[in-house]
Amino acid sequence: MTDRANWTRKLLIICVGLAATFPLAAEHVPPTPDGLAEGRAVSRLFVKSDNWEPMIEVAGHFGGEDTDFGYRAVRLGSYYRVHQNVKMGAFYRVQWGARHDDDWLLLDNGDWEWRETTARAEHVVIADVTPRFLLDFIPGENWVAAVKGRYLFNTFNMHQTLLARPQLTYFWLHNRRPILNVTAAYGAYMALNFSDQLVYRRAPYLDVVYHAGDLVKLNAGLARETVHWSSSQDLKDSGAPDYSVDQSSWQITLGLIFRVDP
Amino acid sequence: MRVDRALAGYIVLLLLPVAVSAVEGRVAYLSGEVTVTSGNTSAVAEIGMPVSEGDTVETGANATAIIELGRDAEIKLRANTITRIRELEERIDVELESGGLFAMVKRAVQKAFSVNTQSVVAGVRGTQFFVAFGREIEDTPDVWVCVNEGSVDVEVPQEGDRTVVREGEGINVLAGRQLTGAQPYDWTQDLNWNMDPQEGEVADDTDLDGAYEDLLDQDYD
Repeated sequence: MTDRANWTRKLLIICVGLAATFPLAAEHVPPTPDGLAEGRAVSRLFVKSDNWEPMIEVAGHFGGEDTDFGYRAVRLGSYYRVHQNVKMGAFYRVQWGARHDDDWLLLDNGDWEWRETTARAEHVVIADVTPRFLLDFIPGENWVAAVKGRYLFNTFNMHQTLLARPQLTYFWLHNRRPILNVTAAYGAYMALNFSDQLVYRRAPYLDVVYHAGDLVKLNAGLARETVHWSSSQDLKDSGAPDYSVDQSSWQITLGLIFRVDP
Repeated sequence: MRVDRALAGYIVLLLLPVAVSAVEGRVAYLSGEVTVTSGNTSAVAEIGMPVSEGDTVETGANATAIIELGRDAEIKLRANTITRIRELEERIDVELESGGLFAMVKRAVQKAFSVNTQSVVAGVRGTQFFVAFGREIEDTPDVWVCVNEGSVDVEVPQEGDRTVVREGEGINVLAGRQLTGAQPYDWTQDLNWNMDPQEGEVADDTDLDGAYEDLLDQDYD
């Protein structure tokens, strides 16, 4: 056997060995179908009243493994402008179809699969604070930097999450009025009392808002979201080796926004 | 800052139709610190003080002044406003150098124009409008013109552009040069058009920042 053939044989043995021990290859690990695209539809209504801005949101996600709206949510609440540069918000959200680490189940036949959650309602309390700053020293002048901070408490599983999302928006104005907002942002969702990884969900994204009028805005967004999955309770109970995997997908958002300013 | 010639131009045009018999103005009302400068002499204004051609009237912070320009027109100066009375004889020519003012033509002496229906006669009895400098976003400040009664012909002579602003409408002349479309603006509803102290407060403290989009107020998430 030549040296070259020897090296090839050794490499093959190493690869087979790795495959046998690598968690991704195991059936008890959630699949990671990278490259999936998920569509998101959202509609929001804001009613501005001095410093208050109550809102309602209806959202649905579809695609990925499903073609129906697997996730649906309704959010209610209000922003309040506590300072020229700071808005705070408090919201309540009811959602169906959310998926958590513990939804990765061991079936009686020994197979693993995700729990069907499309009919499961969860109630989430949300607090939001967003400081903003006009960066008029940057060429173009109409730049706004912001950091959205959002705390979420899910009463279904007591999960606490903190979102930190720095973002930079350019406002394209015509006759001193905005025509288009273009935002680049990076959102990091931090698990405060679950997951084996602090940032369990993250996404860089680009978002565009077209001001069709004072009342109506059209929204489109593109994000590359990565979700981290930690061992589920079923997995731990089964005695199988722990896993820790990331799943990435493209998120395409289309939205219709109404803002009433009486 | 000085008003550019365009602004002075359309003020002249607007008030041309008024036949003025009196050639002198006077301070009809004031509150706060108001000064009248005539030549090289400045004096603290008093009610009844005459205001002549070439005089400059200046209001301080939190001050308001109403100046009668003959019998047929008067102007109300907002706080921090400088206005020069350029001409009162053949026509009324007011130059706004900074701040903002309300102008009211009490009555038109030209032939009245009216629209008649069976039960209503609508006539142009006068014109009341507001002129003020806005933000200085480019090299010169924006100029806002808003009309409460009648209609106003706004012209930018340098550009050869003109348009009519009708009752209830406003217009922003970008950098004092570029006309935008006349339209109703929500913020103009806060303007205090009252020019009669007997009828109530005459001071106007409308924040012209409200005329501009607040980019820090936009959160659509």
